[in-house]
Amino acid sequence: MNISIGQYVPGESIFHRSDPRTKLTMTFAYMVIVLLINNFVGYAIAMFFLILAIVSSRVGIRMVLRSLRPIVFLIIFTVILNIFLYQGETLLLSIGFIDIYKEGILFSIQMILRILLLVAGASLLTYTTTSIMLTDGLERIMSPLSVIGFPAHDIAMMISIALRFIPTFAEETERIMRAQASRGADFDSKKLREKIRSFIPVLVPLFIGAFRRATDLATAMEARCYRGGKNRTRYRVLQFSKADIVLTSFFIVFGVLVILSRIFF
Amino acid sequence: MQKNNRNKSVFYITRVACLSAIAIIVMFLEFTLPIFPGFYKLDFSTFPIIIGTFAMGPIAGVTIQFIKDLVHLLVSNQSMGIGLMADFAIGSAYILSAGIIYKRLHTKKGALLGCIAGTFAATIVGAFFNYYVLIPLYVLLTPYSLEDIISMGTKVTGSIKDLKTLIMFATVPFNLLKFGVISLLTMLTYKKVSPFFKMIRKESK
Repeated sequence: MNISIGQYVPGESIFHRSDPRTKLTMTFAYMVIVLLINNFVGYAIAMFFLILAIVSSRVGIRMVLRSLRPIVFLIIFTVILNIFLYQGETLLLSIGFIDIYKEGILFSIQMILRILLLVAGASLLTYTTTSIMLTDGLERIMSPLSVIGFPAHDIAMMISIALRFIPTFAEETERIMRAQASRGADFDSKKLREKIRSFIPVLVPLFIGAFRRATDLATAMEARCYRGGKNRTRYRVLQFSKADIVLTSFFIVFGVLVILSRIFF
Repeated sequence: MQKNNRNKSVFYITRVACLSAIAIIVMFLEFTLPIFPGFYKLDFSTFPIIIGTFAMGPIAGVTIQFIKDLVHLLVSNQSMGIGLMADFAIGSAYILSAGIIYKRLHTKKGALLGCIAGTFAATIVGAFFNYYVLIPLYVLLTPYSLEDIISMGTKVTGSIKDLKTLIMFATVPFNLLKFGVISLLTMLTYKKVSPFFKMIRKESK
């Protein structure tokens, strides 16, 4: 079982140094801006800024390309469907019942660019931020919600614990699966019925183990006087720095250019 | 008394966190079924959540669901979170109705009734949510057009012709099957896990 949680690439770039709150907000704003793009000038601007960001983040173009691997199928499917099914005005090619229009090709190029920009841009966030920093940033962003009773600190704590225990439980799942396989369990069956039946002897020990671990962890936290988010001091204090100002100003330029391209082209 | 309260909340936090971790792992084991369009993926990740709901109540269940979807969004940003939004809304419908019924009736019968009610609630919410929010949003954000999505359905069954029939013949049976399977799993394991529910309930009283 290969679960890659936290694809963090260690580094010292401006992206690594900036605050997770800045990065989270920017990723969200970036997605909205990319969805606003409606012509090729806009895509060119976005591409330029994305490449600039990838280069300055120093995670390496290969890592970013790797994040695109899961969507290759989606892209191929999109191209085929759009090129063959799009009903445009300028007919370029007609083979039998398949008509290929110029608009269809242009449309699918735009769609590919959009997916590429969205996925590659969002991957930069997880490449340059550790999951601990991300959770910390999320907690701070969500903390205004605690006024209406949303337990921001508790949720962040739960996320950190969950992230910490995913590899442990994944290993445990694998161990239980092997143990059951050695007793004759069949996990590779294609039949849904068999699949469900084979899952039960894995899930039950997994739950018991999880509850046991949760109890141990809670006891350990109690022993260290954990008492929730109130007045808690932190090992790493989040602080905005020069890196945040530089990133944000680049981002504002990017946003303004995209909006201008929407108006003028 | 004060100390006891604090104690309870730390146990609550770690239990919810551990069950979320399991739910996240199980969610990675998703698989597609050939009888449904490719974007409907089947996974059993609601199962750890329903166990958590029976043990700690409906609010804990919804929290686990929320953490699972949030982590999934941070880790893999496929389809830009639309699928996860669907998962949260539909899963919460199941969890809330099952959890509220089980809270009234702490027996196997209560669990069964809860699961049945949950399955129907999830199917109904799923149908409306797909029709009014998800598929329109999917069309807006991804390169698929409405016709593409419907044609993905038509490939599977000829009776899918438009959005309404897509929901009738793909979404509704899919959710019925998914939550039916999860309910079945829950009932099959209930006897083995229920001593833990009792233990946890006793502790938190």
